[in-house]
Amino acid sequence: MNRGPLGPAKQRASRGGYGKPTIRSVTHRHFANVLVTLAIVLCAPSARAQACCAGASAITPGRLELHEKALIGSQLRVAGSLGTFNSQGRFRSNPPGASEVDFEQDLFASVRWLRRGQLSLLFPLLLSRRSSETTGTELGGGIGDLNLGLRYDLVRNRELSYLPGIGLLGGATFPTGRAPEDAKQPLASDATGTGATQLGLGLALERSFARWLLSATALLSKRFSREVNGVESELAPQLSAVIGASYTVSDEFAVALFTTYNYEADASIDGQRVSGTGRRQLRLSLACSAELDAFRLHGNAFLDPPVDGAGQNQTASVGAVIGVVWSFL
Amino acid sequence: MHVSRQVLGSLFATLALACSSSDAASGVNEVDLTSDSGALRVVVSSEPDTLPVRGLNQIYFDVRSSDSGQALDDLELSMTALMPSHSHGSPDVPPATALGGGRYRFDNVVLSMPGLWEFRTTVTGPLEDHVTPRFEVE
Repeated sequence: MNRGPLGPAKQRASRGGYGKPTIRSVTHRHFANVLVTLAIVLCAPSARAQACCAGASAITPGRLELHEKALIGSQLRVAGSLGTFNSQGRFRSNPPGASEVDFEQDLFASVRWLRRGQLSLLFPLLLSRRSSETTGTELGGGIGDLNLGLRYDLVRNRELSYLPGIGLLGGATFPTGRAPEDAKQPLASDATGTGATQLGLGLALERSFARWLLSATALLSKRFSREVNGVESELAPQLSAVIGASYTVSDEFAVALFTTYNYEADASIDGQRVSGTGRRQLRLSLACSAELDAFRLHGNAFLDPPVDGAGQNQTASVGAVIGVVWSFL
Repeated sequence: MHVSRQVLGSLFATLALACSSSDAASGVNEVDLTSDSGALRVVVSSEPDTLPVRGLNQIYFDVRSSDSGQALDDLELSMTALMPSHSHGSPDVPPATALGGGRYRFDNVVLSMPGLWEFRTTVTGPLEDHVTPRFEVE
């Protein structure tokens, strides 16, 4: 169904919430598209290169636009390992015979609650191909960790002239995937989860300026302890920050550039802090989104810069994501 | 819809792959250490490489008395391989096999990913102690 450049529901939304259905409305609509992309960029479990590296995901993909009540979507993510940052932040490329390529298929859905709230669910399916000199090549996968996300927009973008858009974020990740130590394959390619429950809280700010939208998001995630091979293991709380700028190119197309930085302090074993086990990761993402009738397409390319100091205890990856969202109701 | 084609064409942006290089210098590798109580001096080595690698390994412990330097043969060693920074371990490692001359071998030690690993090792028998060598696996 072709609803035209501005479908009836969007026109109502534009009149009700944002005044003139002119370039400004169009801009807002495409900012929303970009934010869907941002949400997915944020939520794509960072460093899926290893399932245990799942980062904080307080938001689930598929942010609803103003006029929408529900959506479903899917995205495919492909990532290849460039190497690893060691405990001192030095980058090492993969040794001879070692490689890793990860595929992830996410299914997600979002529904609106009250007027300003959104509830989202993410269901990941993972497939990994890994190789080493001593074990050869293996392939494994399965269901990953289920993610539930909440968003409540206290202030929408441009709703108040003196405040940016303010959104409260909450999220939970449940260990529905297979923990690495339970994997059957030597390189744990069939490990699909962290093995721990995770809860997150966050704050998202956004403000548009003509065709530009600037956004900043901060997420703090608490990972609960779990028993690993007879000891109590717990990761430190993780702080994730995302700063992005997007530009609405045309009625149907927008591009965006985002930087994601994850930080966490040292982990602990049996209540004792273990030095040198903190983690850092810097990721650069170039994203775009497009609207095709009731569907939205999104894609992004990402890179963890493989330079000393850009990470710690983390795999560096390069990859891409492509997805589609169908909004209805 | 008039820009759909260009939109679809733009979805696949070219990935910029930065050049990377390997630094041969090791990070915090420790192969010679003292047990928690200080009673044991332990030298850890591995096969197929001198340091543990991603994948399958055999880990050797050479255990001596810190005071006398005497090789200790009547010990029982059990190990748990952990990766604290990612909060996971490796599958269970069978107890070590005593080879004589204070030397012990753990077989089938699987390290599934690169990074900082700890071999949390418990010593039992005539004396009880703990030792935790750490290795950067590449």
